[in-house]
Amino acid sequence: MARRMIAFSLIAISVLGLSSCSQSKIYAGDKSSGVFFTVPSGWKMVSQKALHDLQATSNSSVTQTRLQAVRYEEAYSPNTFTSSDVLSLRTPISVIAYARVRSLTGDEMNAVSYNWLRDLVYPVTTWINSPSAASGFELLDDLEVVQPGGRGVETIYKVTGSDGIPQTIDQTAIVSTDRSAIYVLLVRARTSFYQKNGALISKLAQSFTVKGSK
Amino acid sequence: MTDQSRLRDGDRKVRVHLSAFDRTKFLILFSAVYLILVWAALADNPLLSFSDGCIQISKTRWWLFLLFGIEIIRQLHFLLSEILAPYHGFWQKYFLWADNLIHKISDWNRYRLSRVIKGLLFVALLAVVLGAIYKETPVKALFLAPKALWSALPTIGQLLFAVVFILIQFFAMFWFLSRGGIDTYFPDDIKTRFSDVWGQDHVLARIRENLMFLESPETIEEHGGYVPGGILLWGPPGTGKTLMAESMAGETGKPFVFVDPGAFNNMFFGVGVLKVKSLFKKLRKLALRYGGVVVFFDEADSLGNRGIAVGGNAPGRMSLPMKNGVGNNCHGGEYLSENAKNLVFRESFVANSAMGAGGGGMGTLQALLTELSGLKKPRGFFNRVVRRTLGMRPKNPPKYRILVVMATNMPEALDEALLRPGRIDRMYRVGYPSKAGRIRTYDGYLAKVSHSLSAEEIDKLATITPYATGATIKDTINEALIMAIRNGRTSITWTDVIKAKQLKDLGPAEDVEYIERERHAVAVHEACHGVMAYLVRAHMSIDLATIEKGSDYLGMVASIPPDDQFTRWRTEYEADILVSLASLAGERLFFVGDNSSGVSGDLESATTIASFMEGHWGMGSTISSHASNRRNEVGAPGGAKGKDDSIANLRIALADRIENNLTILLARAEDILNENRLKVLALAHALEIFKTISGEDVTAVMTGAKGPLVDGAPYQIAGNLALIENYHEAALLAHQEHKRPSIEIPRFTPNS
Repeated sequence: MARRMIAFSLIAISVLGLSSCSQSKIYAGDKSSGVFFTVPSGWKMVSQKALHDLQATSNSSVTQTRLQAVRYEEAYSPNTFTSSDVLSLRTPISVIAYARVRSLTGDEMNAVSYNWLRDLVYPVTTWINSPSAASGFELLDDLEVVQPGGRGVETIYKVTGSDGIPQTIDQTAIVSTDRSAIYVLLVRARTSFYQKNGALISKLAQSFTVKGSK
Repeated sequence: MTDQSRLRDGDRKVRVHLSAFDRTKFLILFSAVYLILVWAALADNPLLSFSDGCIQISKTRWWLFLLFGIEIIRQLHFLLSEILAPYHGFWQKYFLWADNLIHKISDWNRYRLSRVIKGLLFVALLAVVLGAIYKETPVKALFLAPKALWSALPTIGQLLFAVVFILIQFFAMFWFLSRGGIDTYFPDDIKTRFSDVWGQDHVLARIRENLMFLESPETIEEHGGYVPGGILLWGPPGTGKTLMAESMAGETGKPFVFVDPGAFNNMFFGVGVLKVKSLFKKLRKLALRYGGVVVFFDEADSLGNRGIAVGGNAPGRMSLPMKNGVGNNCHGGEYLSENAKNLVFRESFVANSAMGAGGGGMGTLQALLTELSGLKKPRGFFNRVVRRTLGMRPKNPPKYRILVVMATNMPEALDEALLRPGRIDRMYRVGYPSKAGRIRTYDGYLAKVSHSLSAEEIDKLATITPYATGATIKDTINEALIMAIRNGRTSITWTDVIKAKQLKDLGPAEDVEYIERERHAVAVHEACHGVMAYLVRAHMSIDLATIEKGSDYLGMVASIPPDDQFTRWRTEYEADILVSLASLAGERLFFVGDNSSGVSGDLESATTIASFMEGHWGMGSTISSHASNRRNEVGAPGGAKGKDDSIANLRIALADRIENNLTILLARAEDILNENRLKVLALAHALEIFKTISGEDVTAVMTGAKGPLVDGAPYQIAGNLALIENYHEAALLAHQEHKRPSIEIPRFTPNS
């Protein structure tokens, strides 16, 4: 009889325990776009809707065209932040991770190359050839990334923004196997923060997984 | 062991312990569902760890844990009921109250309530599932479902078309397979009439009666009767059953449906049943349109039986094997009580018939039985469905007048249920035609050809062909015509008919020439049979005697009954045995104790008859039937050999009694042949000279009269007989020394 009571108690405890636990990390990404990544538990998120709404206010036709092609975008940061913090490239207080999946236009499909992927945010390839052209630019690493859903490059570099504060950018850009979409993970951190939490940011960037849309 | 009964549920203090499986089955089920959901989540997200997957599912599928919790509470409740008597008592009381409350509602209302509850539960479950699919609230999802259904209609339509297409293929295949084997003839399609069927007038009279009722049903229905629905024609092959059916088709003013014997044999299960159903659908249609229909099943034994004999207590009726088996023996068994008749029939049926014959099989027979006298149910889609939908009662089926005629030469192979009144009302034996019938048949077939036979000759022909059927008579006349044409004539003579008969009875002679001593031995062998038959067998007349070798005999003496006789007597069987044993007795007599292997067939016949006399027919020293003893395993009467008191002597074993009887009859045969030694040698001489002689020629030799072929006068002259005896002595010497006889066979002129 005692054994039965113990068995029931164990079952009840495990059920209650499971339902009260929280996950060790945040599983971000989009199943339909086939992109996944993880961010540490407790980080805050700026939703796709907030990012979309901000971009929708732009008068630029290019921005509007690209906005319509966005399939997924989300941003995470340990600090409170806004969508303009994500899109303005201002040096963040600590770190912002921003992921985006967008369909490519016909011209973009023809233009896709590893250099084109490196130059998504800043003209990195130009700066590599003439480092003096940009203030505080330094290429820290440049790696080829091969994923089940596509291939691309991960470029890590330092740059000093318009506010004069150096930031380190870990930029992973992958184009899908059929060249129809681009998957980008941009992790921007204040250089001092990056130097202290390099492992955490590297882990975040490494978790970026592209399976491809179904 | 204890004699205490198992406690009733209400008498228990605590609840009965649940088995481990019953206690955990739902928990195991919920756990399995949980793990499947976790697995699905892990498959969706390649980065998700197992522990995080478990946590994620625990949060998103909380209802699973709710069910889990309810089940745990339920099991705890059961556990407490198993342990604590007061707790169990409380709950039982509560449930008893609830049970009483529920049972206050009437059964029908409870049934309807349960259906409503089940329906609501189904809708609720559907709403939850649809909610999960549409990612909406269950109620909203329920309203979205019709829209989804509407958009899915083309797909559903395609699926339905695929199903219908497959069904059409099956229907078409079975429809084609269920065709064939059934021919319908309409009045005047067939020219055969009753006047074309000869020698079966008594059966024809009955059939005419049935047809009359079919065509004028009011003659019997107005008086409270009904038109007989089934006729079985049974009897030996070739007696005209099919011709009779054909004449029915010609005579009747109703359509005639002919069912082939193999119509219900099929490869696929169910096709036979379909055939039966389509046949009777057609019959009903014809019966309605023409006021009646005749359906004929030829070789009805092909329908088979289910291997069921009549029940021990079934009163009133007896199947054909009974009438056949008992009827031929003694008064048809009619003096027996019903139970006794059934018992005897059952025993003989089990012993003699092939049980469970195949036939159409696979439900075909059952379908036929049902159609023959099944439920008289309303038929037709309009009648059954449309009328009922409109609140109208279906109309009763009309009176279908279908006359079922079956023909078989194996009535014992038919199913007992098929023969019951209501299915087969009348059974007619179509036997061998009577002498008058044979004369009529010979007249009929001879009328179609040119012939020179007188009325006396036709009468004689009918006499010497007692087992002739319509088919054999037709064949014999045709063979006689072939012989006449072969001899350059177009008209049949008496000789042509006799030769045709011999050819059909004995087969063609092999045209083998015996060496002299063997020819003499065969002639003596056959002469012994002939003389014995002439002297002792009054119930049979010698038809012919021959020493021309056939395919399976060296010579023979064929006999025929001069009259239509239906009973046989001990003295007649004894005479038969004497005729059989005459060959052995004669060979030993004329060849000084020697005998040939040619007597084997004769001994087999003699032994068989003697066995039946002793063991079956009550013609021996004991009374009990050996067949019955053997079936019932009671043992046969018989004692040890060598006892000399008369009672024990009667009780010796059956085989010994048979041997004793044969020995006595063999001695009698030897005595008879010894007394008629010269007659045997005279008949042997005639056979050696003429090879094949008729019964009249045998009589001529025996009496000195003049036969058609042989003049008997020379065999009355002592000198001639001495010559024949000398020739026999020479032939005997040649037989012993294996050489040619020293003298030629003597030949006599009419005046010699």
